[in-house]
Amino acid sequence: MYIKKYDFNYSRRKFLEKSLLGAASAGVLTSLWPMIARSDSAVTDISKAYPDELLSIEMHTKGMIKPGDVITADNVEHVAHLLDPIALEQVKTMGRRIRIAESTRDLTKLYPHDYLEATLRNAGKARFDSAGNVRAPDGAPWLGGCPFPDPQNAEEAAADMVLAWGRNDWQMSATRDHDIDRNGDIAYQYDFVWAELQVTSRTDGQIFQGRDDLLRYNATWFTRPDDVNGTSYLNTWYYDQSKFPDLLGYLPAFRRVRQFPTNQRFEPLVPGMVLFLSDAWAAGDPMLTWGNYRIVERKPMLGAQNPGNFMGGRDNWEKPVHGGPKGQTFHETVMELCPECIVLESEPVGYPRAPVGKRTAWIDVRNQLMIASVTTDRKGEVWKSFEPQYAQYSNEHETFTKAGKPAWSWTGVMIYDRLDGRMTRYYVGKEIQGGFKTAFETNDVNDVYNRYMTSQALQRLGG
Amino acid sequence: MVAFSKTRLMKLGLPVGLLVSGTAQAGGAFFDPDVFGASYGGFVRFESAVRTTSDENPYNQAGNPFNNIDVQRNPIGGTPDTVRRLVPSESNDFNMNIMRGKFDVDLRLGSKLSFRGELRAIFDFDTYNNHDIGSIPGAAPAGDLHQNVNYFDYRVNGSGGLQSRKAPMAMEWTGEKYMIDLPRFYFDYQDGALLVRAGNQQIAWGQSLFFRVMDVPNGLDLRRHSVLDFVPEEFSDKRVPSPAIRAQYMVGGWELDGFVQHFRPTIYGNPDTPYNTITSQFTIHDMYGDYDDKANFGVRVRGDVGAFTVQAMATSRYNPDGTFRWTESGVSKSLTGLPGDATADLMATTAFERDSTGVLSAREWFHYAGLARLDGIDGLNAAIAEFPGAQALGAYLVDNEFDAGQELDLFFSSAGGLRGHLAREYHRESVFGLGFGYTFNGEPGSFLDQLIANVEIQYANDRTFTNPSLSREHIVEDEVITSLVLEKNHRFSREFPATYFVFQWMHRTESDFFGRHLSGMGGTEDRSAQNARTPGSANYVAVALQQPSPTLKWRFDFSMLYDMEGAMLLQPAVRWRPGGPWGVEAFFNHIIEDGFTSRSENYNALSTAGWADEFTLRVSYSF
Repeated sequence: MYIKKYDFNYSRRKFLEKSLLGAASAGVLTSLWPMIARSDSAVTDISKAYPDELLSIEMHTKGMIKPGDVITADNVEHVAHLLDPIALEQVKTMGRRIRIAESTRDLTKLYPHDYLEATLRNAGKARFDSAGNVRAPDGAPWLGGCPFPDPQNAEEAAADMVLAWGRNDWQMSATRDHDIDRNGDIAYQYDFVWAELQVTSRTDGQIFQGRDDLLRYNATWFTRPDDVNGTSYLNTWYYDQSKFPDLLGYLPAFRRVRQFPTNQRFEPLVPGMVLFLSDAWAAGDPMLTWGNYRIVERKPMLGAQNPGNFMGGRDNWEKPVHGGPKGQTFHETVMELCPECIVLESEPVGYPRAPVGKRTAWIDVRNQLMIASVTTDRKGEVWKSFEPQYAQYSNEHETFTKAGKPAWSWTGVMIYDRLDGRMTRYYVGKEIQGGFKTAFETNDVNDVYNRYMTSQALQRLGG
Repeated sequence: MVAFSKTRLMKLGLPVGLLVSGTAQAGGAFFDPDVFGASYGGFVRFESAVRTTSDENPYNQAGNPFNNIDVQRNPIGGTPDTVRRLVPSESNDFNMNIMRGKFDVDLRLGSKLSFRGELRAIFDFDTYNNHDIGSIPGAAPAGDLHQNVNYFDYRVNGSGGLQSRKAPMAMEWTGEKYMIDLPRFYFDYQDGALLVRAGNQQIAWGQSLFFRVMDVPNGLDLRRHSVLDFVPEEFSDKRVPSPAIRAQYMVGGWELDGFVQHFRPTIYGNPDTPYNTITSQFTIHDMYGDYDDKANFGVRVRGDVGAFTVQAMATSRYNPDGTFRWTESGVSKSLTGLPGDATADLMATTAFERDSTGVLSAREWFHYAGLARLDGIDGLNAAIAEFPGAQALGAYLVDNEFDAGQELDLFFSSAGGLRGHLAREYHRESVFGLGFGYTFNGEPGSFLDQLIANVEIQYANDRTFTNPSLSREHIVEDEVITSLVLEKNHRFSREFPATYFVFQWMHRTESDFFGRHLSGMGGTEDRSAQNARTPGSANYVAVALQQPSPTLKWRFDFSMLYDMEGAMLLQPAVRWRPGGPWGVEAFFNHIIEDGFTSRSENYNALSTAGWADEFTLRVSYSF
């Protein structure tokens, strides 16, 4: 037991020390990623990098909270330091509850299989060019996988999030959205597809169609209700993170595909939704249009990184809901103690009239994913939270595969506007209106490109 | 939209699938029970347009400003002649009250094949006050559309004669107060980079909004709410759907797009319906029956060249607007209606029909020639020179307004009212287009930040226009139409989402916004268009902006169209999405006919709808 060697506050002191240093590796007892990279085992266990107090919620809370418990207003004081301020407020005052599970020690459960392989294969090869974009050693676009699995500074942490949003080269998330008003009623409900196709930074090391000037295609199309059915957008992201994506849209009113300006990134996509384009993955805008990136802290957090967030076996993978005035404001979420998180702050320096003053993202160093993000308004008041739930798509009822292995992805998101009292929550379902089904693999990348990522595709999807 | 369960829909899907698979089974890629699925949705919507002025539509019988007033005609043999048009004028509170329903169904038939259908149903509550043809002395006009006000039938000449054939070759079913049609009813087949869409469909091209420079494949259906609908919806409810096969192919970042389409014309509002724009003293012989076997063709290519987006198109089409010319009325009514008058057969060979719902004075003739952008003198001469019957009745050619007035009043005095008969015909034309787009990337927050500029140019070779004389010798000229579109989002405050701006300018070398040749502009009661200094080109400026509320629950729109001949259309609007199935739009149309120049309102295009100030409310329930 490492705690015999290191006292209970060792990790806290270690995190403080690393935060003061600025540049530091993940891991408390040893550096996490060199250890993982050296491992020739099929099992990538992080246990040796952290003391038990960071891997066991029971030990961390000195027995007050243990796996299987439910965090409520009655016991949240024991984990208050492990929640972002808005989640804490939700538990304290809005009836939110959070289920607690064992921490995941096996990294393979925190990544898509191919993304982890590419991360390990390409570890140490990424660097920034003079313009601030991530490059392979030969100056080409990034090779695939996480470019900086052990980020040494804030820019590297930010690049990890923006270069491969969903960690899958192709994914189509059939998404069902509910927008809850201040009274707890469902004010709006939408079905939409969120699809990502990596052009570069692909796990297979290929550059799709040779377009090394592009990073990804990102298409979104709404299928319900009738007044937005057919509304479709295609964002073409440039690899150069100082350039805005190109935006094509099909609006049913125009009956054709048109080009639209793309700098409207701080407003809802559709009425009632709290989500802004800018919010996505805490990296919804090209990285170099934001600035003042800084790591302000390293600390453990509670994050929804647990397989319990996959609703296999439930109808359409629908997430149970609870809390709020009408008992339907929050997803049922399963959180675990994430042993080490980077607290990354950044500001929208390229958007002089953005309503956001600052974004704080808590990034789990195990997979470099944001587990919570909170924005403040320009007055400095805490405004919105973006809280994703991730999981390997496998439980005792069902396993959803990608290339023969359990898929891994986000399963849901809650976005809460605490100043307006409105919640947007959506989950990845098996299928939504229009017959669109969630998928993480394809036998033919050109086929999904033709079907979903062209102006012609928008025309067909829009009608 | 609501999803059907697979099992429930197998009953529907199997027959559909068998039908499809029975007709085309290539590669086994068509109907696939494992892929089959369906969903449906739609809305019902009440739409009401409330008039905000006392102006009535002058193109309708009940809105004719000459009704029930004494009009001095030219003296006959020195005797003063006063006439009174005996059609009652009406005062309307509403232009429109309709209930609209839309029902959509999507079927997934296989991995490559899908079907989409949209049924549109409209019922008009007939709250628009109109004339009662039976109560007007001397009124018995030929043509079904002039005897009974009919909101929705599209009638053309057929074997049964004038206006005897209804909606040829169209997927629509209409009656006096209702219409049901299928604006979308097509199959999509996608295989790799190829998308083929076959069925009844609209095809829209181009970046310009409302200015139809590249948007040439479809005509417009101006029944329902004409062009006075909610501006942000552009022409989505107006383009005339047509059976077509459209194929799109992506290659190397370029989109190739081509179509073959059954030709369907623009459909104008019927006589005496609220938004009618063809003066009701005319009787139209729509000759579409001679063209309903014609096809339009078009190709377009779009892609990027460096930082520019480029598109080019070429089409061979029948101009859907058609042209109008005098035609023999075929109505055997004598000139005077007096016993012993044997001119009935002769009158049938002229372009006129004696009827009290026609024109009764030279003043009315020239007044309406101005409104219709026609030439009062040439119009008279063409109706004489091209019709021996008119000459046989003693009609003679004239040189000026005075002589024309003398002759017209002589005939009007004899007849007590004459209706003019026009043939509507269609002409093939080749239309070419070129477009360039560029996105500026200025300093964040600056004017040039994400400003999108597009220039579109249309060149029509040998376009045929209605001659302002209504002669069968149409005007045939090449026309160039150019538009500049600037659009951007600009955020003015941190509290409100970005405001969306569109600025557009359009230049037309030969015709106005509605396709009327510019040589017909400027006529008045006192002056024929040939003596007006008609404009050499037409220019329009449009500005539109949208400002959503922070939650997008509300959106405020403002649209302005300025005709540089001195008229303006203003439409402030608000859209409300309170959540749930309800939606509300409200907008106000205000048209300033002649407020910006000293020239007559007949020089500009917008005054054609100058009477139509109204407030419209739409309340919808989606399912």
